[in-house]
Amino acid sequence: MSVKKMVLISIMVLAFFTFVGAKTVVTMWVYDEMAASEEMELVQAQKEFMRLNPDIDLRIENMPHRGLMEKFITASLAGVAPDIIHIATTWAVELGAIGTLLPLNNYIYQSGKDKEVIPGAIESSTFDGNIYALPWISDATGLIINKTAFEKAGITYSREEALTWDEFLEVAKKLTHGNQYGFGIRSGRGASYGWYPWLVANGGRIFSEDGSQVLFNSPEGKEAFRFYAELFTKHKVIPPGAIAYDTWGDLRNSFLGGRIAMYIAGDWEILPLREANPDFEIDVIPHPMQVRRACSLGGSSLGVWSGSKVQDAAWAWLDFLTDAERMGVAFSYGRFPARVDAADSGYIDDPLIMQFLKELPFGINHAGLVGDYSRTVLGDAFTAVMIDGEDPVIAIDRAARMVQEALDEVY
Amino acid sequence: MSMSRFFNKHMGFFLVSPTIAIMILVIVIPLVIGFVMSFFNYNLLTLHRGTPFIGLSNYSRAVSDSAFWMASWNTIWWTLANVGGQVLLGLGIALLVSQRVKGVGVYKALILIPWAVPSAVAALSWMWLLHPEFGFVNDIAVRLGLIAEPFPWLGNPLSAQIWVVIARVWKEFPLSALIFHAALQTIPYDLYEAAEVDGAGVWSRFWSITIPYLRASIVVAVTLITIWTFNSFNMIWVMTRGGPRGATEILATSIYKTAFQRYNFGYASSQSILMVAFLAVLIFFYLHKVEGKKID
Amino acid sequence: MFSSRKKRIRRALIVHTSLIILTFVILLPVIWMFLTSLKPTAETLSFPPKLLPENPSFQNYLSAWRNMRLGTYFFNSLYVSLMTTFVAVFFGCMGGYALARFRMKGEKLYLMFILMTRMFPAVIFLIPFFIVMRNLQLIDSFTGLIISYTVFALPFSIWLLRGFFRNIPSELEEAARIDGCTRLKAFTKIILPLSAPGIAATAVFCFIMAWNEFMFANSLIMSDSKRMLTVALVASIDDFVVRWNELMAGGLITTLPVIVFYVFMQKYITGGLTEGSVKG
Repeated sequence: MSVKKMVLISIMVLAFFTFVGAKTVVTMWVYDEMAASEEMELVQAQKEFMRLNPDIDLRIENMPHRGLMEKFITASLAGVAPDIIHIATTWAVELGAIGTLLPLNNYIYQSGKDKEVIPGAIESSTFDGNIYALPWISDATGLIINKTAFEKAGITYSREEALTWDEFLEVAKKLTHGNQYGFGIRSGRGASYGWYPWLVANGGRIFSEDGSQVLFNSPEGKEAFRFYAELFTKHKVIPPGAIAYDTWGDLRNSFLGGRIAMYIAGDWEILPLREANPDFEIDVIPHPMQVRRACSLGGSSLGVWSGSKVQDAAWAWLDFLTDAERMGVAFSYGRFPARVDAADSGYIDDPLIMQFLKELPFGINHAGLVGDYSRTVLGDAFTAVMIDGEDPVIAIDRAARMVQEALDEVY
Repeated sequence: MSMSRFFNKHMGFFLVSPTIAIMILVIVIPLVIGFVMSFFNYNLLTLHRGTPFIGLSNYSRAVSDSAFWMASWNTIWWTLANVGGQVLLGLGIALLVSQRVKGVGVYKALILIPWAVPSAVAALSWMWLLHPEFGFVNDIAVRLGLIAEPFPWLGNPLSAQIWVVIARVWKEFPLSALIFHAALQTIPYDLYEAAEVDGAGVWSRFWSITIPYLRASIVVAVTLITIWTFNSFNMIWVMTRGGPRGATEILATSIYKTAFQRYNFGYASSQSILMVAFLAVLIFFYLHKVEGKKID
Repeated sequence: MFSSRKKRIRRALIVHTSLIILTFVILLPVIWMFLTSLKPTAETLSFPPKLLPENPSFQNYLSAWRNMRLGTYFFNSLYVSLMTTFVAVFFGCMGGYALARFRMKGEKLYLMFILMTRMFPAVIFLIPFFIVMRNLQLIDSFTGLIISYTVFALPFSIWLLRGFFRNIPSELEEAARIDGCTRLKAFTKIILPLSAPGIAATAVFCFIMAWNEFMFANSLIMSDSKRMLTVALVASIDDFVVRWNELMAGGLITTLPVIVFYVFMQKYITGGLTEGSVKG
């Protein structure tokens, strides 16, 4: 055989194997260190998926949560984004609106996923009729309390009934003595996340149905804003340091240190709380209510990059991961799958987690087109009232004006 | 002429060309892209409506934007405070460390530690120091009876402004100290001896001998610090993200937010151009005035 | 000597006292970092805060190294910083030498240009820069990052080195060349040794700049395996759990190489800056 022929044949053989061996590569970014080690459930699920789909090479990358949204946007604009991105539920609308996420309507309806996922969660990921991400993990917020502090103050509480605002204020006052304060909140951008349920509980709305109008400074909103701010300024049931509480960790540590006796957060707190101090006695009661019940519905979702070349394969993984059989994955991280059948799945035996589950139906939709900006603006409004003593009505009206301006720019 | 003679004749050019080439690619091209973007309405949220040419609209918008002026004002104060703090502290330390006293070498090494800490780490450490409940500053202040309860240092606008300056001066002053120390070492010792013999006191020795020798290095330090501080991003971003209530919002953070919160890259670009223009004018003016001629 | 013995002792006392106080105050944050890094979590979060650890241990350093996977990130940063230093000093020498020795047209302009490039806020670079890098297939690569850092380090590098080279009288080189050396040989045999302090100073500066950098490292590197140390550290402050004691331990680990590098170059530095910056 001549050299030329041999070379040709080798090339053909090589090409053949390359083709045959060529797998579809699907890349995914997750945060919260979910793929940090082999033993983690997500990694196990990944292996299982690849076993069932030998033609797909799924690669999962851990990414830091901080700055992830910007990173994804930058990557998307430059054409190098991952096929699948794990995002906080509230990001879906913005990321979708700027064109970085693929609408998943067809995939979701055809696979019947729309019947399996919590409706409120899907709504949070929808804008202009497009469902921009598939909810994976949902959380609801409730009122986490220091059981021992309650006992010491002689306060009885119910795990079923939500406290009204007046009742809540009374309880908070009774818990404020010495170094201890009754309640703690996150400030700055975190303030709005904590406040929105109070707005809705009073009958208000953040944005209008179509998302183009700001409604949080309605009379109900003003009332809610005033009440929340006065917890700090007038009733002083919140420690002065709370102005600089930036992360959930700050709140949690303040709670564990006996500085605050109550705080509102989601089921993600239970694991870290137990880890930090297994002997600390806590309980979870419903989010305070007023004319109706409300709590924050958060969580994380999975989005597909609009520029992905392997959309079908990406969806296959998303479908797989959010299946009934894979509920254990979310539970293994101490989180709750965004499925309607999750409560009855038998995975939950922790009474505290059950308390959060009961709040799920009351979860509200936070998402908005300029969500990140609104949170900053509202955070500033709170700061203005809490530190500079500005009148709450003036502060919230100004905030509403600024957000409306931003919305008008893009609607 | 031959190849090697050509090479030799233009050697200077050949030596700097790799640098220029890389810089054109990596710096000039992005800047040009940014510059062009500033004349268009390039907003990610309205891409579906196109990116129309809007001429100077972004610029006029910036000029009438109170947030832009607020950030500009903050940036000026931020820069002034940093320059003042770093130069004064650096000078003080340099003077002490340049004394002919045994054992000062040790301090030279220790003083440099803040500079060695990466700015992100420094920012995190200061956040921890200033933690509203568990921080060291609160601990000391309460123990000393200065305050009754832990205080949210980074949550209060005025206090946040002061602390971010302190944090950055802390981090950066060693560079000034080094520059001044080097300058001080070139001063001939006999000058001081002669002056003392002539009866000059400490203060007048300082003014008539030390300062003139330091003049050049002060200019260098001020120029460098101004440029670097004007653009500094890391520390403020990690510590306060420009808050609370925009108290620490400098141009660098504000522009970043315009790009990544409002998604308006065209507007962000125009603000950047204005910012650089302002800085360039400032530097030129300063150097011209101080040197009497353009920087060489 | 200058002054009487009594005066000397008094001066030494003043200087040392002031320096001790100042140094202590300046190092307080670092001391606090260190103390925190020795505490177990419960002690870090006790209220009211405790100053000294009751059960000090180096456990956090191990946890930080393991949990934050600092090993990989550490070596990534080390590689990128060393390479940047090498390249920046190499091209800096070329550029600095050219500006020091040759009358070049537009020299002033060139220097202004170099200075101006540092005047722009990083954010205006971010997206276009990213696009350029993407077109060169340099996203998520060390090479891309090294190029970026080098480009930002070069201006100062050239400026500094030019200063050092100018202080070396050209007569020395002339003499060598008359004796038959090429320019290159003259450079390596004469200029290099004499300006070693300046080069060392420049090297330290470049290293620190690369080691510390955050914004570009955060944007250009996607893969976990290639991540830089500073990014990893900031990333560990996430919204949910912050382990301050581990974070401080990690922070000190991150600071260590810089200090080592500096100490290594210590003897050259102060000498080096003497030459360079005074004459501008």
